[in-house]
Amino acid sequence: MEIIKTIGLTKKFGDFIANDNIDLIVEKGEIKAIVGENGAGKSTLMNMLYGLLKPTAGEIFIRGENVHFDSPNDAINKGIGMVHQHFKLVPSLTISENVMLGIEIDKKIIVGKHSFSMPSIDHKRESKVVQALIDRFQFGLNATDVVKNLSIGAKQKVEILKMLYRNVEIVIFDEPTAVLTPQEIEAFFKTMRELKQQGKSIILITHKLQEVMEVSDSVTVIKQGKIIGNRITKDTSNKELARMMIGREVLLRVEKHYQDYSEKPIIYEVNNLSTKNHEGINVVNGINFFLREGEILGIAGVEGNGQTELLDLLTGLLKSTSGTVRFLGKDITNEWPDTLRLEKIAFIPEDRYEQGLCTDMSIGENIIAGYHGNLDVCKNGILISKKIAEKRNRLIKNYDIRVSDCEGKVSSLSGGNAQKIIISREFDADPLLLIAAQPTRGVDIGAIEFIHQSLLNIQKNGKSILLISSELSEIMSLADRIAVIYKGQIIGEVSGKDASREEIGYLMAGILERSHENES
Amino acid sequence: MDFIIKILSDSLYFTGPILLCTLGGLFAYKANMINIGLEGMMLFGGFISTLVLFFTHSWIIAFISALILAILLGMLFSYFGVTKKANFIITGFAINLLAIAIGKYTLAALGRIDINVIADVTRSMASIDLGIIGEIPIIGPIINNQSFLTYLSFVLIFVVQFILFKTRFGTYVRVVGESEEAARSIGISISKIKYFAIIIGALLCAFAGYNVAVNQLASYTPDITAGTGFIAIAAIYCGQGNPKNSSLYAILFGISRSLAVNLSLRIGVIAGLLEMIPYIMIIIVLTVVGIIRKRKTLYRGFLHE
Repeated sequence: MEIIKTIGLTKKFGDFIANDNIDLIVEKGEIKAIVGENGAGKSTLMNMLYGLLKPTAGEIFIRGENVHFDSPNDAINKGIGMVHQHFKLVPSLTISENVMLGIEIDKKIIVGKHSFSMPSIDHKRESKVVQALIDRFQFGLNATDVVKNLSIGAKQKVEILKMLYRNVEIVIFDEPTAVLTPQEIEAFFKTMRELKQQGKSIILITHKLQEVMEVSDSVTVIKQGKIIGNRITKDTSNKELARMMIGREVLLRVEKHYQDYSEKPIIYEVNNLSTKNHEGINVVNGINFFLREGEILGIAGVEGNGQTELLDLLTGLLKSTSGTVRFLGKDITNEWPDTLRLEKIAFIPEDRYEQGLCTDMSIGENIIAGYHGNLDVCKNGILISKKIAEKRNRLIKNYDIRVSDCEGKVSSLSGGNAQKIIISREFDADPLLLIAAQPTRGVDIGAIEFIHQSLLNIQKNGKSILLISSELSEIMSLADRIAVIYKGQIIGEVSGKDASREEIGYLMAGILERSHENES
Repeated sequence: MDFIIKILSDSLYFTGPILLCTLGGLFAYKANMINIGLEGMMLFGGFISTLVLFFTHSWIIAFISALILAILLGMLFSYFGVTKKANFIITGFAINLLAIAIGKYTLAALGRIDINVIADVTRSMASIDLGIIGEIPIIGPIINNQSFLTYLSFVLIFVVQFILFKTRFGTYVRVVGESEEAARSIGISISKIKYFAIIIGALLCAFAGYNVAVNQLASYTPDITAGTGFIAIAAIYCGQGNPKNSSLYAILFGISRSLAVNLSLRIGVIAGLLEMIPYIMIIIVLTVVGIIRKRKTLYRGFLHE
């Protein structure tokens, strides 16, 4: 039975067509995967099904009934629920309060036969009801725990509970595995299969083809707002899907030549580094690692284990409470970013729009940012526009940055091209050490290929790279050594050449603690 | 001893209006809006209630008209600040300027220097005798003979605490302030919550304006609020919108105002200088709170989620 059917669904934002005549069919009780690159229009499609966006044209049928949603509430009433990639939870509330948000149970006073509603919320009864639901699905959570203290995997379960409590029949998961450990992903797949067994239909939005092959029943590929094709999962392959997504053959993995670096000198050394966050919690807790010349050290870990703070520490945005950082024998602990740049350390920040770029400024201004005092573009404190334009044009050409207007603002570029601006800027400074955080987050497969290749290229020139990423496959295909961060500490290290996903996965979950192999 | 009792008693007297503005304004603060217009909303409340009282001689009509005007002002502020997404600092500022301008214009049009309603303010409107409670030594004289709204303001601390943490509306206000995305995803109307949060603030400011202009001074001039709305914003900010903490700061500012007034009565010539006490107090408190918060963080000059 067709539980969801769309006919000619179209969404335009101004002149831009995000979804073009989408005819999607989801059968009852199946797991339907929808794959496509970032910006292909997957999220737009789902937001229409969930009532967050209104279609420009086309019809949506749920169980054969033509529906029009004005808000997510309408969608939920028709049995469609969505678990967003970025969770929509309120951190300071408890699990039960989050689950019950919008459909709270009021306190009642019973006098004889009559019951009176009070204006206050019955928190006790709420947590009882939610706890019963948690136990039924064996989620292993405590309904009265505050959400901000939960792990990412647990938060996702809270989102699922929100939908289950509202009795939805169709659950849409938007990139659900992006922030989970391999083990959590396994557990999540189990949850998905359980939901399926209970008769729920599932739409899984992802760009990870491995997961599609493992868990889904059928696949729809979207490219540039259009459906490229539908496949039954067991009749297709990774390769075919990738070709459909990109429109050409892609290297799913870059060629990496491993070599022995143990004879090379140590150039960067972090000793016992610690710091606190805004809440005064020790988020980085005695971190030790070192980096040899020409080597790539990957720092893997589930997001929220101190990577962000470690990065802020190493790039001079956050002060340490103890410990030292040494670069080429010099103490550079707590130096400011500009000093670090003078020492020839370059950064690719985690959030390119928050720390890497100024979106309201032009491409040229962004290309010199951080290096704007250098003599090649600035004389006696005055910027030389001609030189800036020259540098900009050279980098745009060398790094194949696709811009519609080279005088335009950075905000007009796609994610991948914006990231290339940062990469070209940092590489062009010819650093000895590159600290790269999430270098391919939210960029399309084509750009990922390019970025990975460039990282390996600068390694070939003898530069060292510290790579912090939550994308395990990225670290595994690039790093010579992989250190795993857990609760602000490096809890283990494996060689990049013969690392197994499983081994790293256990470390990421804090299991199998081994002593850190520190040679210094 | 009498002098200390007088200072403490006056502290309650001055705290009342500050507290009303603080408790009202913190709803907007919790919903992630700063209502700079508290001062103007309070001034409008004082203005309209004395004006109506002056012509109708009925305090009920005066009070109700203050409330109606407050709702209109709240809607005006929300329309620009929420619906039209204008900068709400500027919107609030406009309301402050408008309040002074309309007050002065009306006085000029009436050809008066103030709106004096002393004849219409009865003894029980100005202060309530608590009877036996007033007989208690020391405490009695301090808390006795305040206006009804001053007593109400202290009760409201607990009412606001209850509303904010135990009711749907309060929970939604906090949710909207903390994560609009979360609110939107389950269909809470963000605009509606913000409208209500602002209108509640406007109503309590009208209470404060009525309290000062009718109960306490029995007359209106465009400077009767004397920065009460801004002091309330400082109290809200220092207490981070928590009703109990913000109220403590409001009380602290009330005490300092009482000190200023009472000390200047005694000292004479340089009395003018002492009137600075509450404002200097605010600068000191804001600086100290700021330094303490800054000290706790190791981040350099930027805020990171």
